[in-house]
Amino acid sequence: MEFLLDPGNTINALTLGSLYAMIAVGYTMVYGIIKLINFAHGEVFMFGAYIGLMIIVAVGSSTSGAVLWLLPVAILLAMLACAMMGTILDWAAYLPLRQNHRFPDVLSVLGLVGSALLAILYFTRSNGGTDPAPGILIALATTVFLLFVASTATLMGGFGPPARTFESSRLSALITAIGMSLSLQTIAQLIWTANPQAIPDRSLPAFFNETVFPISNGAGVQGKQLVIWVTAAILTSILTYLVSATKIGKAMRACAIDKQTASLMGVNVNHVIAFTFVVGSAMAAVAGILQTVKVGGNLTPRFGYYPGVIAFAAAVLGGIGNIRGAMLGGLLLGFTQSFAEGAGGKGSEYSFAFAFGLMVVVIIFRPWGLLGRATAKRA
Amino acid sequence: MKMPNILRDLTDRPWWSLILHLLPFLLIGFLPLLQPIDQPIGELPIGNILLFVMIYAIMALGLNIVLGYTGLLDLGFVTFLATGAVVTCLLLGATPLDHPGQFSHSIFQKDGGYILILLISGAVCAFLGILRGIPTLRLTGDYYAIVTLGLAEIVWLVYKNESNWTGGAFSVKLDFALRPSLGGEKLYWDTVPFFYLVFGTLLLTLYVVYRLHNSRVGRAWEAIRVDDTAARCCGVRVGRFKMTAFAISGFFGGVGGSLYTIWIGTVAVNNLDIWQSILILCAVVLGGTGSLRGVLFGSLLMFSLREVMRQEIGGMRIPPEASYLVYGLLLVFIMRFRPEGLLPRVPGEREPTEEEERSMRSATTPLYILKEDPTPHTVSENDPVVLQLDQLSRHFGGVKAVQDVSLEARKGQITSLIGPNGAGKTTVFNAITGIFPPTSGKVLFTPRPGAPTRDISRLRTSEICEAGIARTFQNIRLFTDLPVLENVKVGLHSRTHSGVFGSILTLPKTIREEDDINKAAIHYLDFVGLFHKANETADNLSYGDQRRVEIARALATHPRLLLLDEPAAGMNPQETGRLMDLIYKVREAGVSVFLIEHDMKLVMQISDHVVCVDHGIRISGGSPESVREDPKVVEAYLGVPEEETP
Repeated sequence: MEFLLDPGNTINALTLGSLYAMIAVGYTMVYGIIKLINFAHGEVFMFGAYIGLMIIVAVGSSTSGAVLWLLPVAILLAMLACAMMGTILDWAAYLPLRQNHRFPDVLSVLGLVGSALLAILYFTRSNGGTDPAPGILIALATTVFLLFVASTATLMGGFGPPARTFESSRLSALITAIGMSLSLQTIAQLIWTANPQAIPDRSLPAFFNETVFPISNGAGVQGKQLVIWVTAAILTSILTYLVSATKIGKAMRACAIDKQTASLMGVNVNHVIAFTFVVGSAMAAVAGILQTVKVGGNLTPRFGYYPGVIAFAAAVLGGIGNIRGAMLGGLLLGFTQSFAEGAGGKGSEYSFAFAFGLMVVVIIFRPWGLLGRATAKRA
Repeated sequence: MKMPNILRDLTDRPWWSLILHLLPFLLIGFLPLLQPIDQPIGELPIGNILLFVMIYAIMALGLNIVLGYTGLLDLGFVTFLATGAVVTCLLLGATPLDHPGQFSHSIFQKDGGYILILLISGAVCAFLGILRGIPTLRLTGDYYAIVTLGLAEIVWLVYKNESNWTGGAFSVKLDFALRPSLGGEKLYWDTVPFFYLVFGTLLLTLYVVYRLHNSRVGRAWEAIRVDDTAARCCGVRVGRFKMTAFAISGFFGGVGGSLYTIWIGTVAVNNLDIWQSILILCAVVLGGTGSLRGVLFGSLLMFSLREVMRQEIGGMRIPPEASYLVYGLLLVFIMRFRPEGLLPRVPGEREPTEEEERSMRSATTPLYILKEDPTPHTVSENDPVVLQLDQLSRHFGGVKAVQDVSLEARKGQITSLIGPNGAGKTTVFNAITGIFPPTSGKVLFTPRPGAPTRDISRLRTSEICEAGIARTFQNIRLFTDLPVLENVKVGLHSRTHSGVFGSILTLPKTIREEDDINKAAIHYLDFVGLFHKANETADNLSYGDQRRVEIARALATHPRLLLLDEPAAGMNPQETGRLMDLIYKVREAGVSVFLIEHDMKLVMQISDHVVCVDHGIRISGGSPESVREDPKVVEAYLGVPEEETP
């Protein structure tokens, strides 16, 4: 039981917990408004990490030594890029499910197929050499196949009986989200390959890894951990302010309760949803870069999966739709996992299992979460 | 001549459709005779691809039971695949245990012993399915999905970390010596016995799933998928039937996992992660959830595509991961444009032919209970009590929706419950039927005069239905995408007994019962005057007809007391008139009626006894005339004139 008293574990837990909290708010906001587990949120987190890493590597190699402004700039740019990505994700994949317009359909089919074509075209290599030319055939064939499925589906749906929604549209939305998650992961793999990548240490200020603020018996807070705490604290405070004290925040809360009534009161629901995606994705991007800084590498296309699912668990734990709950849940799961890891042996092998187990227990016994309130269903 | 369902279904089709359905199976079945399995056609290793497709199709069919029939999104199906693989490796002695061969037995190595392994793998996974069902039984929708995902991750971690048992991240290789044999040959992917084993298993799986889906069990699943509360009110024990679905689904997952092990030869449990679930899910969704040919077609499309994309064609290849991009986008497109899949289940929307009508109406059935009594009905104060509410209360948190309501409904009478909106009328019905069990008080039910009186307030909804109380809902709750006749058949659930094994084995008893169910359902449909709509999908019916179907479904549960929740809501005067006739007809058939209604003309005209509640409290009761004159009732409906309020 010594590990319970080890301050090092608490420090790790706070770090991991802040990261989870930053991802979890994105889940909880989106779920609160459109009742969708945005499975691809973890992939936005992963993309944020890659974009940040690319910027740091590109600039870092051309400058000598570490530059203090590099990381903040990389974070800002990644936030921007991911905010765009989140919005596009919503427009391309989820908006067509909410609204039955042909226009978003055309856009999403063209956009998704086009990007698939580009990705496959670009990365198709003939076996020996580097000449991509013959690969164009395969890429074309794949695209034609995709277009064929999409168009026959449209035609059959158009001429046949009205498309009955599969069970409930919410399950369709969840499956769509899973599909986007799979696609984005694959695109990342096509772009950056599956080899783990890391932020070179020399690109970061020395204070990140070398400065340690001692606490007691050998344990201390590393510079980068302090940075993570401070960033998380600042961003979550801003977010709390945004949601509780601004006009758009009020619109968000209204949409979370009743989208239809909110739109009757003049709230542009689609803008609000887009805004949620923007904010959530930007937060995830920050978490992605900081996570890469924290672990010092290991950035692969699968980087987003576990943090993503566990952050969702955090959102459920705190009470889904509740932003403060998501932060609390993130911290709690950070503690669970860090202390399990700190216990060593089986504990560290199963640290993720503890997090998943906690989520399962909460969903079964207290589905409205720690800070949420139970609501009676009507028959 | 009586034919088993599957033959009848096939012979019903036109010849070209029959050929279209059978041809692929014949082609696959004769393939090994035409050419060696390991011989590619052109550059495509066709035998290998087919095996891959068939093995995954078995698992997709398993997943389809939970996803397509009970409507639950299971993201953790890979657990069964991995468990099947682990069990097979353990039984064959291929796993690096501390004591190798601890679980293997000479019987497994004998010729045909592999069948035993297949069954054990299936059984272990069925057990696992039930085990996993215990905590997830009450969950639906995305919470069910995410919990199955979490549990699958936990299992995956266990398999990964306990490498002493499972091989973990290390590949477990099935050496020649360890391979099971069948038909005198060691089983490898390219052997003929293995090909036919997989093919046979696929056919068996298809048969079993087909039989189950077209049986009492399958109907219960479909009912649960569309509306589990309505299913409960039809006497379906939702928990038990969900468990059955979990177990059977798991069984096929385990069988598939075991076959997968032999096919691939080298298993790394590490690789069997959550994305395998997604692949199988993708096959089901692509082809069509809940549609057998859809699932087969989806598997063929998905897994042959995957294999084709893996091949080198003309010396170059797509990066293997690109296929996942295609799957991901497929999921997105299918969900957007054709959420029911490429080959969706077809509801048979047609009127029964004359011949069918004759055969359907012929012969009486033991389930036939509704007899119309030509003598006019007389009502007296001394009619025996059927239902007695004693100080019934139901609170929601601090809200006292119903408080100390007592009332009686008598046999052969029509009792009405009236009250302003929000007075707690529907809550009374929900309390009687156990949907929201009463907080306090008793619900005393006497099904027949002389039968013992039971307090049913603590029974489950399905048990209350079995006891003899049926209901309809204020906002009609039919099983919307099932045909009308199927809706009524679900009502007969509690009065019939066929189970999983009877349905699979096509026991004569089951066939007879299914025949009875069919006839009885037609009888009830005829009773409400909707025989000609038997094959239409329920939600294509007009509002008034939907109400009638709901009444037919309720009557099919053989109730002694029928609860009608605002049956005339939204009806025009003509429809209301026909409804009144129907209610009289129900009463004449010996079923007591208890209804909630806002249409005062109807209430005053047909009721023998009226009770009025307001704010959850009973304020009046008696003959329709006396209640109408009661100042308290007038006050509740119209309010008190201002000058009189204190």
